[in-house]
Amino acid sequence: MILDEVEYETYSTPAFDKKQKWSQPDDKIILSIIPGTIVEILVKEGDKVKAGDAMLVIEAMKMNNKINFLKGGIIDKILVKPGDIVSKNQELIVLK
Amino acid sequence: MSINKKIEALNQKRKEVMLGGGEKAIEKQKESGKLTARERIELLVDKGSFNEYDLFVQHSAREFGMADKVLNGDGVVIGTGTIDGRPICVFAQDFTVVGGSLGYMHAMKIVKIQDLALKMRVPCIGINDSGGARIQEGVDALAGYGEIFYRNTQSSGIIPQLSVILGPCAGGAVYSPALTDYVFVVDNISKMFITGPEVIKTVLGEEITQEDLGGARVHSEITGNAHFFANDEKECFSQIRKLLSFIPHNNKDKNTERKVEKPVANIDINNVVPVDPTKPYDVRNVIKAITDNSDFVEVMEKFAQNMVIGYGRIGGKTVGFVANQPLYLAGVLDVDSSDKAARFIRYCDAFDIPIVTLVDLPGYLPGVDQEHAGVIRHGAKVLYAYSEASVPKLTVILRKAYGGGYIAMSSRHLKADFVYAWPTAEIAVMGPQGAANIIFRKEIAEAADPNEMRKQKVEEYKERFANPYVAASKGYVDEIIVPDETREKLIQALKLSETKAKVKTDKKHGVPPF
Repeated sequence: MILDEVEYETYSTPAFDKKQKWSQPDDKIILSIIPGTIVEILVKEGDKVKAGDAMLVIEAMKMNNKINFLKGGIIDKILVKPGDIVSKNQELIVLK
Repeated sequence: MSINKKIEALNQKRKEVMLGGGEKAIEKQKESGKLTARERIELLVDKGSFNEYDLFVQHSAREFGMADKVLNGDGVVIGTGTIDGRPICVFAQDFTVVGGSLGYMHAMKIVKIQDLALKMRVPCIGINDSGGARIQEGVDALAGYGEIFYRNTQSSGIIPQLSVILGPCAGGAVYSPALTDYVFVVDNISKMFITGPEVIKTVLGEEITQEDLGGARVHSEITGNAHFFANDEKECFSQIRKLLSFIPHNNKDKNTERKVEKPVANIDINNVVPVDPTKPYDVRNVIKAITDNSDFVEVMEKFAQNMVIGYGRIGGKTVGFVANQPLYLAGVLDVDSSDKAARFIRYCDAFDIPIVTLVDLPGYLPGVDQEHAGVIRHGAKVLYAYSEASVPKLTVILRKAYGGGYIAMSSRHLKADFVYAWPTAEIAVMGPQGAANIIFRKEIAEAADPNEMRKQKVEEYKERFANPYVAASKGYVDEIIVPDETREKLIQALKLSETKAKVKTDKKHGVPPF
């Protein structure tokens, strides 16, 4: 383990081993912010969208949550359909 | 009816009720590798000391055809007993009676024993083995949980509360153990989660086993919800008995002192800590070299192993140890180890247990995940807990004490009562490499051979600052001692601290960075 340029001899821990390396998220790939079921998709491939536009409705924690785009662009691919169960951070939509 | 007949009838009734959910259910309990509620209590308390209360309590549900059902003891056994001759209160959920599910009267039995424990100022031990709320009882089951949580909180800091997870403990039920001081788990038997694998699968499509989601190992190694891990129930109960032999049984209990015993471990304390600050060693060897009988009850042994906490006796008196562990992750402070240490310090403070801190850490763990996980507020817990603690605080700096880590680990500035340093101590604003790079940046950059210059400057810095003498020259360290003097110094300091003044303030309570 290297801290402040000094290499220490030491053992790792189970929690440390499970850690994933952080990387800059790709903001063209829109990930689910919450696990749930897709109820309705409000856009289609090729649509031009701007920040604030409605994207889809996801049922999670007993609520229908309308999800909006945080950033504009042209929709390249829609990776989910109504009825799909998605987990947190699952890829939903890819922008061009 | 003659008295003999009445006695016979009582015995007959007792016998019936004590069967819990019946022989078939008991057989099933055994098949899953578990003991029954009463067998567990027998293993926990001194032989023949258990008194059971509310044996004949029945449930109060009337809906959904429950009125005709007989649920023996309503699925929970409560009572009192002794451990090493000292009284304790205990409840044990009986899984053989409708899965140990919690109804209103079941909860009221638990509440009764909690109230008794608080009133009599004795430890309260809860053995959990329950499928959760009894759905047929609706909101009354929720009320029951709420009453239990409230008492857990009210008792906190007055009596030790121990939770033993010996079966499922799911949904709202997990919060009672989480509010208590020590959670005991047993491999392959304990399961704790808010929502189980079935719900997770239906709602989220994630598949995971109960064991991987919330088994004993997960809670001991990853989540930090459990404090003691055992391979079987028997080992678990002996862990509880051992812990209770070290800690006070209430916040005013002074009956923890035992005959002074010498350390027995064959450890040459002068040679435990390598002089080279990059070399690891097991800090528990330092603890064993100074405690009576070399006895040490380690708490949360498998979680955040870079911090060691637990109890031992020095000169007959129980102390709480907080020690950086260079064997794991170089002994750094991170989110988990800060959290672990801070709660332990507050526990020691609440129960008047002096704290002995052994310091050897390079600082806080760098990393995006640490920063984003809130290492600032978690790390602040350690500062808060040490600053707030008014029990005797004795600090021994074994080796590295750099930067924020130095301040946090019970430094003079957080009002440690006695600060000792070993000759191997390096007390400085940061490690020599980092410091030399900053202070001599210009010289290094302008040198003909920057690497050679850097090496030279690091050596210079080491020579001047990586020692205990700079801190000692300012009075931040009281004494620089030979390692083999440590035990005697601590014994004397503990004696002197017995009459430490208690500072009273008029604040209701502080607001720690929870």
